[in-house]
Amino acid sequence: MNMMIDEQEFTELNRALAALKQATFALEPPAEVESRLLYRLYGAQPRVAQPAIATATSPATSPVRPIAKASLAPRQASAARRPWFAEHWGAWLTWPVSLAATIMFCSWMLGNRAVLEPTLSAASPSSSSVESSAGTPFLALASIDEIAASGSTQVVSARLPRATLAEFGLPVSPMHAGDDVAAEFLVGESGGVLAVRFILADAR
Amino acid sequence: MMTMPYDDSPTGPQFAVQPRLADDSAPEPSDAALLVAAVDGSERAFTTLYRRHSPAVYRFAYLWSGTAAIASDVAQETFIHLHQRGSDFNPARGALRPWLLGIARNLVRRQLSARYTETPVDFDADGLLPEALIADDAAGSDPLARLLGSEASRLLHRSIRRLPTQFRDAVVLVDLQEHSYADAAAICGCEIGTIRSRLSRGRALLADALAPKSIR
Repeated sequence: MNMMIDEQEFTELNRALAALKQATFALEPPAEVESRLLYRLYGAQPRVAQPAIATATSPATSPVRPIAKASLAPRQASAARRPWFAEHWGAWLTWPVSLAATIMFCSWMLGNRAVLEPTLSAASPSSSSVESSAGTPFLALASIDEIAASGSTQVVSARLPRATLAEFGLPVSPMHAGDDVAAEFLVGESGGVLAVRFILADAR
Repeated sequence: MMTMPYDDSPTGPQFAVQPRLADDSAPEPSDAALLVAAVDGSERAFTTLYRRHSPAVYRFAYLWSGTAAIASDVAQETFIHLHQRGSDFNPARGALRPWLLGIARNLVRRQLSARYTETPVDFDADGLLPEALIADDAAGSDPLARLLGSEASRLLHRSIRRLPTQFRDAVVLVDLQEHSYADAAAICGCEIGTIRSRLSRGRALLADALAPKSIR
């Protein structure tokens, strides 16, 4: 009799388990969990539906749609082609390499007047007068993007203590450290200073 | 970064070097291939993995804890772990889903334990946990409570949440989520025979808990 009851109990249990399984079969996390997750991990704006990788074999219930097929493959192909050391050292090298590239770019930008000259010549028809060989190149005080996006600009002359040259890594003679030096500021529409150059009277 | 010591699927290494996605009839990218891309920073690959596996993770945490808020937290934290430590996954040791559920299992235990810091509960006890331990988590707004139409299902779920954790693992994974004994053993980090015995013991406790109302 006890065996009969036990069997009955387990039959009842199996029935209840099947019902619970069926009731929870379609349970999914709320959509905001995905939004929060992606926002936290990728900084993306929260969104309900985002394209994900899927193919024609995806279940019909899946809200994802197929992406452009080649968009993932090149990433994976590039991952497959990466040298062995990139797997381990890639993350460590990212910042130093980025920093070095930034320094090289800034050095090149500061040393190459051609980068700033178009902006300068567009700023003022008379700017050719300031492109004297007696002056230093324009030294950027804002990012190149800001300079490029600054629209019309003006050149404003001023005199600065000669010691200011040292702040830009330019040589200053102790004999003349107390003197002034002529400077020209490239000023954007908003009044922000974009670049500066020094007119070295000694060289004139 | 993870290595790919295995590949028995047709979408493994070939997928990595050929634009297999260009063919609409191509099979879905494997978890391993997606994980490589996700670890490499692909948001789409990560999203695809999330949508593929988050229902199982969420369902496990929900059945285990009976609390929507905990299940949501566990699902989110599990995939954050995947994002940050995905390279730890070794496909040679098993599939991705059991690995994720193993993480979810640890997280849901931690979440529940944190709830009872003032009156510690022995989750590994041999019998059913105290009834008072089972909080009705806003039964009205609980999505599962709405799903569980029958009194028997509600009573069963309540009884499952009173099971000691090792038995609860086995019942939820094998009976409710239809995982194999091998997968359940991998998730719980024990032998298959241990899962069998825990499942048997868990079922016996559940049958006993259901008996007074259903039979006697």
